[in-house]
Amino acid sequence: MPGERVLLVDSSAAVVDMGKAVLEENGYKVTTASNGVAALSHPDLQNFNLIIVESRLDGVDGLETASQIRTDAETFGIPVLLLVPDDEIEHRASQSLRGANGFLGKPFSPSHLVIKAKETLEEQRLKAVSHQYLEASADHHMQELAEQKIQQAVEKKIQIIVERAIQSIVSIIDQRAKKEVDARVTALVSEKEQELVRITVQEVAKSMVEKMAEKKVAEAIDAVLMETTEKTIKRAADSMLPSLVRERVKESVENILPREVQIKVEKATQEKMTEFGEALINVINIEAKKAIPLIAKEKLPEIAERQVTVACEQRIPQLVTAEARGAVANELNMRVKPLMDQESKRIKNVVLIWVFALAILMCILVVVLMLMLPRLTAQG
Amino acid sequence: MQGNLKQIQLPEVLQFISMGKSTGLLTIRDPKGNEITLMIASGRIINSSALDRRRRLGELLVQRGILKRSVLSQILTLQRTIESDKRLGQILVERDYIQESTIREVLHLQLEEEIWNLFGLDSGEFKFDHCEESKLGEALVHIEIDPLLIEGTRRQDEWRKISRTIPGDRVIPTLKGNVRISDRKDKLRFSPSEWKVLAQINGRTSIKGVVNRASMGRFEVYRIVAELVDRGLVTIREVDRNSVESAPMLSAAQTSGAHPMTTAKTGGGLFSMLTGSGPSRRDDRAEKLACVSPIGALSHLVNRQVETIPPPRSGENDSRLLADIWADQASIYTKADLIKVDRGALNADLAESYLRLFEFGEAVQDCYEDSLEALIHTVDALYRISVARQGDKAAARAIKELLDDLAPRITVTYAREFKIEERIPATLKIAA
Repeated sequence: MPGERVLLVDSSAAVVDMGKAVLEENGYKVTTASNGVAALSHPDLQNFNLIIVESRLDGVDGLETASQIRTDAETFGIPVLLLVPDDEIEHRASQSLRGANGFLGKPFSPSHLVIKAKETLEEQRLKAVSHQYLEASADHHMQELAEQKIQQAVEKKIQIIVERAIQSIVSIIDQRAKKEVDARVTALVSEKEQELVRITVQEVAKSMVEKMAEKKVAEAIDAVLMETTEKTIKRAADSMLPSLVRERVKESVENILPREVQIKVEKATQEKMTEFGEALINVINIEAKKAIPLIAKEKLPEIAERQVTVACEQRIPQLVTAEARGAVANELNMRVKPLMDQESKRIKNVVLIWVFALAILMCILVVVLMLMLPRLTAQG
Repeated sequence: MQGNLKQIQLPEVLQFISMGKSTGLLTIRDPKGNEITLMIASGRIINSSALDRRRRLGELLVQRGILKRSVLSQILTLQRTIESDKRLGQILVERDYIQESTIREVLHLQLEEEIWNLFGLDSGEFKFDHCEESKLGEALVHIEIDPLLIEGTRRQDEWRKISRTIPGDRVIPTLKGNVRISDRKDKLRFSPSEWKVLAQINGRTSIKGVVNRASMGRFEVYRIVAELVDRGLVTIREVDRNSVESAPMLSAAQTSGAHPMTTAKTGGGLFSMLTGSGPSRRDDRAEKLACVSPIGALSHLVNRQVETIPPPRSGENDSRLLADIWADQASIYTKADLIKVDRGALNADLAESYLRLFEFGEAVQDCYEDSLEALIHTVDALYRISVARQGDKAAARAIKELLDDLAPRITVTYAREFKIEERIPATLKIAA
């Protein structure tokens, strides 16, 4: 290629002059020198495209020059062509060129010099190109390999990360679920506790109701005795009294009970706050066995696995509330109803006794009246 | 005003002329009888006889690397034939080979150097003749004397140091092999001019040859070489005057074997190989001598010429006669270095091979011209020695006989217009 730089080194001023003239005619830029030291010390040596150097030189000979050029980091890629006297060529051919790319016999013809220079440069270019291709393909291969490896590593890493993430999510979920369940259970338990307290209070209230009912009944009977006639007493005995009792009971339950219960619960809660922990656990266990066996023992883990939040925030309270409500209702029914029945029975009995007594009394009064009436009428 | 340089040195003479703003001719003669005249106008040097010598400018331009010798050769031919009334510089400028300012600059540098070289003279004579400025001729340069003196004094001091390292023109700088490419950034760091000088050293060329190859000033090159010696990269080898040069280059047998074309044409190859004599000596008196160019022809002439020179009367060793002359010429005509002295004879086979391989094309013209000049000057030098040893007539007769013998037998492939039997007598100023 025109403009390529050639360093031509020969001890003969004539040879470098001729070589320079020929190479310059062919478009090369030529620098000349007469020894290897000058060649090796050229300040711009690394920028030459070709170095043509005579094999026999003063000081550092051509072979040594070639060898040094070949082993320098900046110049190793520059092709070196040896100029070898014809009589040495046979000898030279059997010897190492010590890093030179080729040789040219001396004396040389201009065409031989140009062809050899071109060939050497071309060879070097091809070498460079093939080197480039090789490098490119090696690069490509390496890149592919690297990508593969990276992908594998990434996948592995991702797997680990995902596993860890899942683990941590699971553990977070577990924790949250546990927390939620705990919270819910605690809430439920406190609700339960309140219910229990309420039940206890209700029991207390029931006894109160009993007493109050007795009192009320007594009052009612007094009032009936005082204000009503036989009919009234009869009617009361037949219908009014039970409904009255029911009403009263209802009223008392509606009015007194909540207030009482609230007070009691507050008190109980305050009192029980300290011993809440263990008591609660027991209560929970007991209540849980009864009220939320599925949720606490079986369903909860399953639900937590799938959708902890939903389970915790929606279903559990519903279930718990429903169950609890049912349980409480049952409890109340179970305990209150028999009492009421018993009460009403007793009241009935009392009323019957009183009615019987009254009937006897009235019979006596009738008999007395009947006995006294002719005497009175006779007197009158 | 005249005197001896022993009593009053040249710088003082110049200073005196400068102070007086004198106009005239200052002639300096060294102990060997060489003379140089400086034309001085109002205390400024405007010309010199040194610049006036025949073909001087052309040589300077070639030496400085400004003009190719092949171009100079063409211009000189032109000057001899068509434009004989014009001076070389004029033709060069007219034909756009060179700018006038460049010529003036080269002359300026050259004259400065020559004057500085005279500063060191401690014997010889000087003479200053006052004259009219109009009689001084053309003002080629304008050299102020005061800066010249300052720089000259500085150089003189440095020259003393340099000459301790480099004792003369003929010593050969040789490279040490103790370098590593990795030193490129520190130990082997050079300025461009340092590298240029370093690049010319080949272990065979004298310091004078390095100066000419570098196309730089003599002082600068010497200074740099001395520095390279100080840095431990170069050593200075003195030419051993008593040893016969054993050529490190191709041996005769190998060379003739390597160039079948040459040997086939001459038919002397096999004979040469058997006898082992140099190929340039294979003219064997009666054979045809087929040469590629006049270089081959002149080499044959030189080799025969050496044989005709009688040994020195002093009985000195004459074995290096040709080697020394050739070394001198090759240091001036640097691209003649393909011609070697091999066993006391010139061997131009390699040069001729290149001329043939390059088909005497443009690229080899400079080498051809340099070789031709060097050979002609060698013939001239040998002729002078011959004259010195056996007198004008015998020397002339000897060379005539040689030419008569060789010329008819020599055939050349290229540059046939060069007739050895015409050019040599003309050069040597011998009547044909």
